[in-house]
Amino acid sequence: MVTLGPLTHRTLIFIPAWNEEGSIARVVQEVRHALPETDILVIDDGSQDNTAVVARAAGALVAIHPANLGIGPARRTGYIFALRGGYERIAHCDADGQHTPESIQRLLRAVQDDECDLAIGSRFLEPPASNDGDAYIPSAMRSIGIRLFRRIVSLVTRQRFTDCTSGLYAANRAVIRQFALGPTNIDYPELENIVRTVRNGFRVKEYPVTMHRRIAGTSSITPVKTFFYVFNGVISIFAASLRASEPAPDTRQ
Amino acid sequence: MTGSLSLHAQILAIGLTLGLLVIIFEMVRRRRIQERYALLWVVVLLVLLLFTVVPTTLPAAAHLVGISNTTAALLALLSVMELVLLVHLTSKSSVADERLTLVQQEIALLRLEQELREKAQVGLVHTPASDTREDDAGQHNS
Repeated sequence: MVTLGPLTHRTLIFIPAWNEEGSIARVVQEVRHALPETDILVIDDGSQDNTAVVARAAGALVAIHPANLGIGPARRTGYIFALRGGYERIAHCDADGQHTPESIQRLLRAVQDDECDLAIGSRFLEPPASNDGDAYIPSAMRSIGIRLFRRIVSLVTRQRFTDCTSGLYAANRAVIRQFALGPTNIDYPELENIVRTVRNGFRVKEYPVTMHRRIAGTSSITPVKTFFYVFNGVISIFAASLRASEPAPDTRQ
Repeated sequence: MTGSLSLHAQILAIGLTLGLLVIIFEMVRRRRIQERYALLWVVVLLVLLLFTVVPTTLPAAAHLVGISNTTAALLALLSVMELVLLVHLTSKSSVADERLTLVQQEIALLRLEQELREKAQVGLVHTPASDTREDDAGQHNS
């Protein structure tokens, strides 16, 4: 196995991006400014635009997938890089600028202080203090899906989750190992990941975060995809809940 | 008698099945189908060959599973075989997809690693080769 050794810092922030040249530079710069003591990796998931060039110019490390592999594999590339690079903790966020650097800091602090093994940023845990009209409001169709998943995931894990489709995570090394070594759902990995991590005995905790509307570009989730999401999601939750839990990740090679 | 075939139809059916068998073997020989996948097709075709060479086996098999109409039994059998083959192919495709994904992830990481090594040589980043990390190892170790 390739080992990179720790690069410059102990914390890695990775950002999967697919055709996000309009927003990726600002996201990278904001994170760099707010969290200077971290390495930033952008995973260009087979973009057809200049995402990789723009991200590199903004000061991020860039790993380029030869083709579009999906969000699940894109995040896994980040986890594999973190594992081989010897990072002690990671955070990942979306490339569209919806997550704030303050939220990332909050989650990383929770993991660093050992409050949990995996910290998830939730849009719905507490209403945002100041709703300035810029805050995230899901569409009707999506909020049905969000509520459905909330119920099912909470039922299966016997733990209350409010935001099961969050793309904002922070994780310690044991969880990095779990996500780097295992298989991943290609299109919608979030639900399965929560169930899997809880079942493997890790402490998973949600933290309230504020989200913005996207800076540029369009969301890759359309109504048709939302339907597929619900279908895919329900199957993946039940499949994950019926799988045997994996061997303790920190004792595994 | 149900399930009986005219000699004409029987010869045609045997010819067709044998022809398909030959095509499968030829594809294996040319490495257009791997042996392990050919096995499934060969089994299917051998069952069909049995039904055509000894036509009484089909009504007997139909009777065994409780279907009185032989034609219906044959169609049901073919549907099941097709389903099995399709599920088999979907499964193989999923496994191949996952492997392809892993290969592409590895390519992306190797290219990044190469880039980092080159940068390290000109002193742009610190890697274990250029920096033993003694300076901050103590305060960060968990």
